[in-house]
Amino acid sequence: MRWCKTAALFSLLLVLTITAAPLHAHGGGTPRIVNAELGSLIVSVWTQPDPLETGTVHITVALSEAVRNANGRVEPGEPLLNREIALLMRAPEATTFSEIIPVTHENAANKLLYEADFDVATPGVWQMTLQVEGAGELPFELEIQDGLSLDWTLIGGVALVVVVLGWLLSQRRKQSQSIESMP
Amino acid sequence: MTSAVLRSWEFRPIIIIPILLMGVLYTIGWLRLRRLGRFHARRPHLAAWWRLPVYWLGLVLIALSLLSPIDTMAGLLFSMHMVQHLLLAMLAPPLLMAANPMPVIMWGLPGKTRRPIGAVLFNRQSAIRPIVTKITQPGIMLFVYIIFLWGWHDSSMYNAALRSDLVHDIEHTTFFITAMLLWWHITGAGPRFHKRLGYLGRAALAIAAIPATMIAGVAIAFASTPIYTFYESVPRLWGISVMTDQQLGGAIMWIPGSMMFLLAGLVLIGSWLVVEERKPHVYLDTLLQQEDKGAY
Repeated sequence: MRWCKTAALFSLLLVLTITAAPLHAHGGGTPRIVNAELGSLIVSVWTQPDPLETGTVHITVALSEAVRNANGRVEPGEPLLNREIALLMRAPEATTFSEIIPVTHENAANKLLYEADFDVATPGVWQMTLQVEGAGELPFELEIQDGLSLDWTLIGGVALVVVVLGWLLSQRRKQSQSIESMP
Repeated sequence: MTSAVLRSWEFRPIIIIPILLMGVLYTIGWLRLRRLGRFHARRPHLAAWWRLPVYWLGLVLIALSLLSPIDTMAGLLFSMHMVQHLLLAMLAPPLLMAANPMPVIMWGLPGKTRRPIGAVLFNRQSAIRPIVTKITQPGIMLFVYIIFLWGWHDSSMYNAALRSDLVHDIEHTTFFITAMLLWWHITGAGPRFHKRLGYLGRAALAIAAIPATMIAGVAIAFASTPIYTFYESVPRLWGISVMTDQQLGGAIMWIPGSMMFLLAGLVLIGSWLVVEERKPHVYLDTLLQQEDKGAY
């Protein structure tokens, strides 16, 4: 009975460890917009995963002051916080924007960035527009591939639990056999 | 802005659960060994009082490096990323290994689980032990550590880690594991599968790791252009430019990064000197005793 409890506890911990997804992405990802000037701001946009597939897509937006360096080139300065940012999404072959996603600090692990998760059901080229309060709009495209619905992390986790349980069972059987064979 | 930085914690169960599990198992094992130590003269050394805080300090450093603003800001500042690598690969592993974790954690496991795991991992007849012994030779571990250190600081690999959370996690895991395996030999922690290196051998191993860290740090610190272009597209914090940040990051890797190995090398050489110093005394004492007895 104690053995069962130990095995159950280990299995639970393994499942929790393996399947527990990070609460938020760290920022970063595949660059979609790099240092685009939008009024007096500089905007960069990244997405995850790579390649983008139907399902959940993560977007990260960095907003900073535009600073002119010694060579006259505009580059990102201090981060700009507390701006309202929204992502407008238009599905392939659609004529109007179907969804508006707020991109916020609350969804981000790094509170200097703006992030959001959204679901994309249809593969194809999606038209996106990033609306930044008081600065303007930035259009860009996202090519979404038809993704497999297999969750490899979950499959790996379950496989690991099965292997551990199998090993524990075999050890248990060996022990009971050795006890039975004792004179 | 500083308040936003300080609020950038990330509580990831995938990191918190293993850290707590290891901490609890170590504490249980340490307490068991302390209790047993009252009856067995040899065991208190394995569960010396200082090992528990040292082990927990190592775990806290891992948690800080992966969950605190150090981790989240690593995406905006290269120097912060180097601080993170320093904690993960240079500070936490020696602390954890100095606490001799494997034997103590084994004592933290329930008896019925400990025996089969011990039989698989430590028994001389087990199939795993000779393989582990062969592939974790000190020279191989030093080589693997250097390859991973240099490999992950290559600009394309580094940028790939910043593009994908999965690659970033793999980067940190490999840094940590290779560092733990190298410090396993330097600290002489259990289980002792390999031929004992001795103080000088371990000191040589620690000192041999210094040039690798130094070369990488110097190359980064003295580069004339930004190596990691990812940082050119992110907001600049506290007015630190991309180049200043890169130089600072290189210096962190170079100086404190090499320092831990140097420190370990010096401590080991010191220990060797102490042991060697004792030897002639014993010999002289014997001679003097023999002289007293009228042998000469």
